[in-house]
Amino acid sequence: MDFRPTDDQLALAGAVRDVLGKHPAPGTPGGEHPESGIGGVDPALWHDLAELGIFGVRVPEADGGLGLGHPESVHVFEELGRSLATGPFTATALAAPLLPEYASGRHRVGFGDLTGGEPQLLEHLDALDALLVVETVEGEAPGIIGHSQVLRVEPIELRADVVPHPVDPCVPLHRLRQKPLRGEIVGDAATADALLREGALLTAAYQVGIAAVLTERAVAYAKQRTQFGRAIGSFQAVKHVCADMFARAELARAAVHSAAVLLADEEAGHDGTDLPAAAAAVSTAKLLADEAAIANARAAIQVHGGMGCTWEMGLHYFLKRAWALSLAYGRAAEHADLISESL
Amino acid sequence: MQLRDTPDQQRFRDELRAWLRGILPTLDPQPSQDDWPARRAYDSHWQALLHQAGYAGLNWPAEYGGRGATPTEHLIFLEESELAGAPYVGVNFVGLLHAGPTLIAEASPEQRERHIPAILRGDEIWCQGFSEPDAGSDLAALRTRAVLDGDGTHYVVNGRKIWTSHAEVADYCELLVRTGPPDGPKHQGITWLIMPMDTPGVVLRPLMTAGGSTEFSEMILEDVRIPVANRVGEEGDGWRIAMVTFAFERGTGFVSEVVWARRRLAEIAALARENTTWEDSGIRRRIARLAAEFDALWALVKRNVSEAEHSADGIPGPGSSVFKLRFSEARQHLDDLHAEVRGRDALAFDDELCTYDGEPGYERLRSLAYTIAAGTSQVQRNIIGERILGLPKEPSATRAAGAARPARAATAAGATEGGAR
Repeated sequence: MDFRPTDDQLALAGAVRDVLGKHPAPGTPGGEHPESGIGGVDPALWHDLAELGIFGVRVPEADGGLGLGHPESVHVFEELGRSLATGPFTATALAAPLLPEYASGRHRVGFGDLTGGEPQLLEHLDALDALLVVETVEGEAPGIIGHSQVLRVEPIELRADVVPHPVDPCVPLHRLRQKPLRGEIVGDAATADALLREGALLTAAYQVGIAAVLTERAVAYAKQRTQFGRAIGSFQAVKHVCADMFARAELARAAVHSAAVLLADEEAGHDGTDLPAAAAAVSTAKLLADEAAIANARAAIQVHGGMGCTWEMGLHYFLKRAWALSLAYGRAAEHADLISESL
Repeated sequence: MQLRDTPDQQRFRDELRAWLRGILPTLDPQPSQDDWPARRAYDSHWQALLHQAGYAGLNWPAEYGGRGATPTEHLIFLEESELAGAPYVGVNFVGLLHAGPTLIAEASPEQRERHIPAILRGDEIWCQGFSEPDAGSDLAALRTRAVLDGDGTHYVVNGRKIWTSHAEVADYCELLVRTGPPDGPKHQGITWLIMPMDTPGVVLRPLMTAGGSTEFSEMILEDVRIPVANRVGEEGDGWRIAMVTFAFERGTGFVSEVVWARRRLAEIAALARENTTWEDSGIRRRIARLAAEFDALWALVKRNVSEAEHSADGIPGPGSSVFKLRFSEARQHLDDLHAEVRGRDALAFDDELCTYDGEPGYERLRSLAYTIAAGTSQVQRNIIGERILGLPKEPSATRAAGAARPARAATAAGATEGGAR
């Protein structure tokens, strides 16, 4: 056992961070403040990250990928979260191992989970070249739930209305008017499960990035802001808020890394006799990371005081993204139910 | 980044499993919680068996009779022992986890020779005399006085200590006393002494906990004469010496409890299915959320152990404060949830189990101390805030008076008594 990130994993994360550093996130120094609904994919950032190979992390080298695994993917996605990188990164990275033509990042792939009965809001639709959809095939008899499958759909064939006021101003939304009827079946039920599981893992990693970077921002502010003649971070009331932020991010990161390793081991067929099932580990990671991102975004705003609530301070972008991601690839109740089945 | 055993680790695990499988059926039933002589006999017997099998002092250097095992092997030992239902360290807690490592690090050759082998064999039980009624989280404020007698051969000690676990059955006490002036810099002037518990003037008063346990005592010291030869390190250097091993304890003291908690949670889930509380999605999801918490804590332990294994000193980093903070709170949620699933059954102690570890009502009451012992949750947050995040300290009355504060002072943070299961 050596659960430390390897030098190569840290180097990959560092390379991604360097690229992201050249494209400041909204609300960070040098970043822009997009108007509601105007945000979306930054083509230059997308291009630079594609050059780095982040969409083909898990694609074999022979197919033009990096030939690496889940432990490397979660390092990349934590960096994306730290910078609040905007675009269909997760969906494109999910599509690439399935359809290696997407490993290069030349095409942008979106994702829609139509297995639930909820109104469908699709992200970045105008920027997509393809859409992967997980849907439930009708059961053979009434009341019998059918199996799920994965479809590839041409965005242009979708009937969808633009949502005029998305809460997260950086992520344009469309509301689907009808379920897509036509598409190419690219995966069966097992593929659909695997996509949802890996999507939950990458999303959790992104949320850890949010939780971690906001801890750093809150701490930096608490050191620099003075009230009553002292840095506010010297007050235990503020210090303990920061300590809890750190604890949330660390614990969530350990859960994400553990899930990545277990998922990779399971797929590689290693005997995991005394290890918890990878699926439950992914749900554990998603639960803790969603909580950490949302709670840390709230805490960061609290530590920043009144300015924390302003548009200009930019912390709201992180909170809004954390909220949205907590509803992607399984929400808390679904992951809790999945864990409870393993007990 | 991987979690699998290396071939060496797998061999270590397999041998340990086989040994546990063979030895555990030979043990007598666990004695009653408050039968201290029986508990000492039971725990000492187990320690002797470990010693014969080469599992005593697992992480101690081989030159002092330990096994010199790696932090990962130590973790495997704790995990497998707990999974097999082996006895925990019990009354040997202070000797093996605190006094022993301190003696290895700081004691004279004669002192080591006298005590280390006996601790490893389970022949010598230690207790801890650190906390005082007026020195808890602020341990360095301790006031128990030690004054050299006329001929300079003995310290004469007067004062009161509290939370002294296993004092009734202990042979020795690791005792922190003030040898410097009472109004001097508080972290200086503290001295570390080995006190034989049968010295005249040592009076014990059991302190009953909310759960009815007599695990802790108050210890009154009246003109207790301790030979100067029993001093470990220099006079006035006791604070630093005591701090050396706090980090060890925080790193491993609660590790096997995560394994225990995860098993207990499975039992709670089984009970909930049986008595239909499982159909309440609120309860079911809280059980799942706690499972997630303990699994994540286990992952965090592995992260901390991996870092310790590759650090220069093998000492767990301050990340162990994150573990202590989150584990102790989760442990309390676990016991509350258990009570909720049991419903009104939780209003009565289990007739057959009530004098043993594991009785749910007793565990629930004992868990009250988890966020207090070995550094309160508030102290852990200070450690995280100051030592990891670099936030400024709060102004302190003693620092304002010009007292020097050693860099590691913040790790002290209260007594460690009661960390043992």
